[in-house]
Amino acid sequence: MFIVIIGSGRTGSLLAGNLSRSGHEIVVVEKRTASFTLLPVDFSGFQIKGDAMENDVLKEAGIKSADLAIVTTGNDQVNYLVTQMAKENFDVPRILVRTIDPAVEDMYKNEDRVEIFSQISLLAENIISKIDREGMKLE
Amino acid sequence: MNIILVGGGKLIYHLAKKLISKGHFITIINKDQELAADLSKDINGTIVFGDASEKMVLEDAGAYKADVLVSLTQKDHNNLFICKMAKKYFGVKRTTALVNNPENENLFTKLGINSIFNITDLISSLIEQSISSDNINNLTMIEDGKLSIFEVEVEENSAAAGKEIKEMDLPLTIILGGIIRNGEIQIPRGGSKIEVGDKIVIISLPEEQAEAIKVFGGE
Repeated sequence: MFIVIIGSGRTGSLLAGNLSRSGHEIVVVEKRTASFTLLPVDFSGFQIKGDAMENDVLKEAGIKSADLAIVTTGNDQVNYLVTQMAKENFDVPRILVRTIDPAVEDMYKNEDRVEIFSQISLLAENIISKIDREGMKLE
Repeated sequence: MNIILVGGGKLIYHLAKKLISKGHFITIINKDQELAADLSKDINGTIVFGDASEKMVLEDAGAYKADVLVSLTQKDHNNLFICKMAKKYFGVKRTTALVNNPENENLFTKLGINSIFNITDLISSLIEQSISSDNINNLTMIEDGKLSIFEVEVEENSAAAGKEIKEMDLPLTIILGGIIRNGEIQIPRGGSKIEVGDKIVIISLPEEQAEAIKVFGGE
């Protein structure tokens, strides 16, 4: 699959490394040059340096032909704008977005082609389900 | 009306003063504490200190009873997000956003932002108009600068002087609205002849304006 990843922070670079290792074609877009150093040494995809909130940068990343975009910068508002650009300006068929503030989740409600991953909700759910599984219930 | 303004600087200050003087109820949201404190001394409205892209802050600002929200920050992603949040979470009917990157105008419209100030395009077209020659007059912009109507005086060295309209090679996006000769208006037809000293009323896209001026105005 051809995947464009927006944001090469800790999350983006981890995803980029693992997905490229399993054979996907990856382009990573990142504004800060320093953040590319987080990519693992065996990352075999492409790096585009630039602000993903500019159409030209997304175009350069080839997002038009992407099968999937993963939007994972550290800013909810930036993620929202980039998601809408990918969806409306470039017709990306599927977009996965990271959300940070749980209050933002409903902003993506009824949004087709877009799926959110709320880091705090996911973490909390995992912890709760572990507690439930191990029977650490209230007496 | 209940109006929420998001942003800072002199623009917000004067905007708020003006709107208050017209009888509107104003709430300003600003994330600079010092600025918010200053505004609260000078503005006869509610000032909320906080980040308007947070749901709680919009709630504190009374977004559920606002008629209009205007987001005028320097960052397009914040303006879009704040407007969409006001609509989705609080049912604010009208939202207005400042657009810094002109390419975002269409996207914001598509996403349901009711009105958009495309500041870059607006200023650039104003600059272009002010530097384009003296022989153009009465310029009017329609739909926030998407269409312009103006008048060009035909100079002696103009390529159009002495020609009939049908002989001229005009771009298709230029429409001639009238020929003013000695204070009388003629409606241009293919056979109308352009003379030196005529004033031509032209309707065109702003980007074709220069072309139209070149054809009629001379160098």
